[in-house]
Amino acid sequence: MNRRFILLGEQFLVIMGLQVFFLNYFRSPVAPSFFLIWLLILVWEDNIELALFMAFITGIIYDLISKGFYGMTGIIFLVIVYINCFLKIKGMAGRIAGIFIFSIMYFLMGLFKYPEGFLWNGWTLFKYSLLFASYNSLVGFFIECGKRRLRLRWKAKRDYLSI
Amino acid sequence: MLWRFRREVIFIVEIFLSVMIVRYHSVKIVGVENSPKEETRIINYKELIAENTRLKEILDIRKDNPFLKKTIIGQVVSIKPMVFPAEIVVNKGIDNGVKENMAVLSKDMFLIGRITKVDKDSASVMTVFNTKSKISVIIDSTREIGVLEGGSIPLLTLRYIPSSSYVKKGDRVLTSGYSDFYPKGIEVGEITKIEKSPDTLFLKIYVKPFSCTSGLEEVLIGE
Repeated sequence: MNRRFILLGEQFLVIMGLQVFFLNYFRSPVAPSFFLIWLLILVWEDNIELALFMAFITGIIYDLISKGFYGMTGIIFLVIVYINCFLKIKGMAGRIAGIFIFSIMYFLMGLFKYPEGFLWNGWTLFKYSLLFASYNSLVGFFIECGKRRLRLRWKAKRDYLSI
Repeated sequence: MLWRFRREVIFIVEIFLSVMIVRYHSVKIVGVENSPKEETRIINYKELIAENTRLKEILDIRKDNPFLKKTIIGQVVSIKPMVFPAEIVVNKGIDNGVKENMAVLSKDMFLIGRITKVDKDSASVMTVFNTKSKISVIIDSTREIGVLEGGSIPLLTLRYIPSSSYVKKGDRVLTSGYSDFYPKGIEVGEITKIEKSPDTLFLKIYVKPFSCTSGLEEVLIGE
């Protein structure tokens, strides 16, 4: 139990560092959401309860670091994680597509205000949601590649030790 | 039974908590920041000095500002979205004399937007980037009147300027004073792109706003 939670804690710190760095120094109108990608991967790896819990925490942290409306990002993260509880996405292509689709959903939900509607107009929303989703998919791709490499190394190590 | 629906329970509890946080934050923005009970706060002196300098600058501007009869200095507490904000929340409300439709200016006296919703001690501002924002403006060089529309970023769209106009890139756009919300002569932005189409009577003009792109910390609210 302890090892798993330490690993998750480490992941969380790395993700938070990356998120803060990209929000402050990334020269683009939109920055990738590392929190969203991490939560999606957590839920797809069957850590559903933990992902739900972390959705709330990361939402609050995201609002704190981005000077947003406290609690709003948490609600969006929770909805997305809850939807993904029912989707078991395996395989790299499926996961990247999933990240792309849910990034668009996250972006649109973030810019929606009841009852006024979207805060930006249609074309701008479309353009920037695509940009945001592309950044996130790219980050997702690198994470998946990294995971595969790590798994292969661990497998090789285990095989070597079992000889 | 409860274990079977644990995900739903976690989801509902957390959604409830998030909604409570959103509500608390929107109502108690100032209460949290200026609470007199909070005596053991860590003070970042450098930040305080920087804030003090900025406020002094604003006070100097306020003394001889030609646009507003009455001004209130507010601090930005929330921005949505983080870049090219369409909506911001300031820490001044009814208690401080803020009313709906008051103009909101940056400390350099550039237009940010107008107040759309006022609470006891906070107010929401619809910025020029908001898709609902439509401002009556005048082009400084040609004195032609048009409507500046938000919703597109990073440039705003200026409509109803006739194709025969001599407007050029770099011309400044000011508020016309014909609307009920904004006093005349507040600088909004400068023209960066002009598109002419033979099929239409009007030019399609893009305006880069002077404010709202970054560094929104203190604002002037006035009428």
